[in-house]
Amino acid sequence: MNSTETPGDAESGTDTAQISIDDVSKVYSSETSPVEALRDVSFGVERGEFVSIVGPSGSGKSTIFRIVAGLEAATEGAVFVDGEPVTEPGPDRGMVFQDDALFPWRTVAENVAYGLEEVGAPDGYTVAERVEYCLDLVDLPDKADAYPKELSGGQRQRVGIARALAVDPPILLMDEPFGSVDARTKASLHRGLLNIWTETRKTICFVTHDIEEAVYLSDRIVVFSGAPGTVLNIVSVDIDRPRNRTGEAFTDIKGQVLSYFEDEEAE
Amino acid sequence: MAGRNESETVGLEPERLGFRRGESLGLQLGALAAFVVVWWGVALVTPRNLLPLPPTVLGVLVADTASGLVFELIWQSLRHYVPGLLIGSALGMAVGIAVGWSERIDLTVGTVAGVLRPVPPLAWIPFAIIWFGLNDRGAAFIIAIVAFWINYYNAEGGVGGVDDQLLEVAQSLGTKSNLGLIRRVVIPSAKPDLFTGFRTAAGQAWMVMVAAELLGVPGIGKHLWDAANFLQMQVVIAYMLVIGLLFLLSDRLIKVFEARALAWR
Repeated sequence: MNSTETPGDAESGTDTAQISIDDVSKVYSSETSPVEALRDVSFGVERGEFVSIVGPSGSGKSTIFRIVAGLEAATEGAVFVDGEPVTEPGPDRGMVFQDDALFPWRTVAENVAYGLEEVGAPDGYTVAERVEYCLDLVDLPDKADAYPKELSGGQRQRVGIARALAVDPPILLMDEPFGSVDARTKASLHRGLLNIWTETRKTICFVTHDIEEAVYLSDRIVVFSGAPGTVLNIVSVDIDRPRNRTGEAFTDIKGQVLSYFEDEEAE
Repeated sequence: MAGRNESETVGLEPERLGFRRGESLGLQLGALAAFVVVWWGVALVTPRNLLPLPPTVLGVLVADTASGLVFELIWQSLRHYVPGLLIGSALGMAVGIAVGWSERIDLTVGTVAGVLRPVPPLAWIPFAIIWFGLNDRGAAFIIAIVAFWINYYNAEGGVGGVDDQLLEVAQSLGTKSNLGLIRRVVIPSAKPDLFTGFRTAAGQAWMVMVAAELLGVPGIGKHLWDAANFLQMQVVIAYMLVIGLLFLLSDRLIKVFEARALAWR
């Protein structure tokens, strides 16, 4: 591999990191030849931090999402959440997918209530109150009784976020959640998500291939290389929010992230 | 038909989308009327004992309705049709879901099912007789076998079509056990297929019911066979129509429940 040391090493494995990804490799066995999806990936995500993972398609960024979520096991290495190794999905890590993954047979309110029916409402709430609070949070208070098919793509993503937030997980894992909505809807979802993040102080791990989206939202950006996925660099975005997408600092960081991909291609 | 449609919807609107409610009802009634006219015409040039005229058949239906015989026969048939359909469907759905869900069950139970599946339902008649006898239970057994397989394959297919991502979401929201996932994700998600299976089985069950009653179990089918033995073809046709009507009624009834249960689609 070209990039030998990842600058992220310094930040990984520290005691303060809520999510600690520790030397994770993933190889998919196949009948012809094994496919190496991730190689020695290490980085940490601090409590309350908003971290994006960007990379080209096939860079293994969705694989690392699935390993952190507990949907797949690492071939080598491990992921720790609050010091505990991740072995399965759980209500401490809310998940939001690209194609909303709402239960089509449940109304919006029933979708949001799903996890509450399993693990109960957080302290101080009834299920109904919690559903109402979460729908307010994503700005969909009047859609409680609608079925997913009656909603727009952006609205469905909001419901998906509300459903993940309902059980009050400390961590929100999002896999290209806004990948299939139009640009204007995307901008409004970005503002909405940042408001929610500000209000709830969740730790957010956000996978995307959209560099501008990552720069707009994140505290730090983990830049992934192509196959096999490795961490090329970790970029801090020290710009006050709300961020101006056309500002100089913004475009500088965008260019900086992009340059890692170009460097990699050049080599 | 095509001409009328074109005059109203200029352009390339697909025909299957182009009909309004009143229009389609008119077409259906027209087709039924045409069917009776053709039957009548053919019957006029056919020896009476081979194909009776529509009024003769109507006469049988009116007389048997007045005497209550139609309802008695329907009741006799329902006494094995309903239990056979319900028991066979419930078992078929349960086993189909289990086979669709678990690879282990698929490899074991599914393999055995694959061997038994090609056995024609009527080949079970000897077992129906020696296990249950020539009665409602024997006939119900044959109907249940038909219902079982139809529901089994629809349920298995429905479970196979469940979106993995929904299962992952459910797990992340705290549904851990197999039974929990089946109850809260798999069954609701597969419901359209379960309904299709049940509705298909309900239709097929009417057909196999007639054959099962050939054994001598009282009901519409038995009555139909007895009439055929005496070459009372007007009675045969009359009860063929009754079975057709029962099929339509049961199909509509299930569709009403289906539409209500699947309003989310």
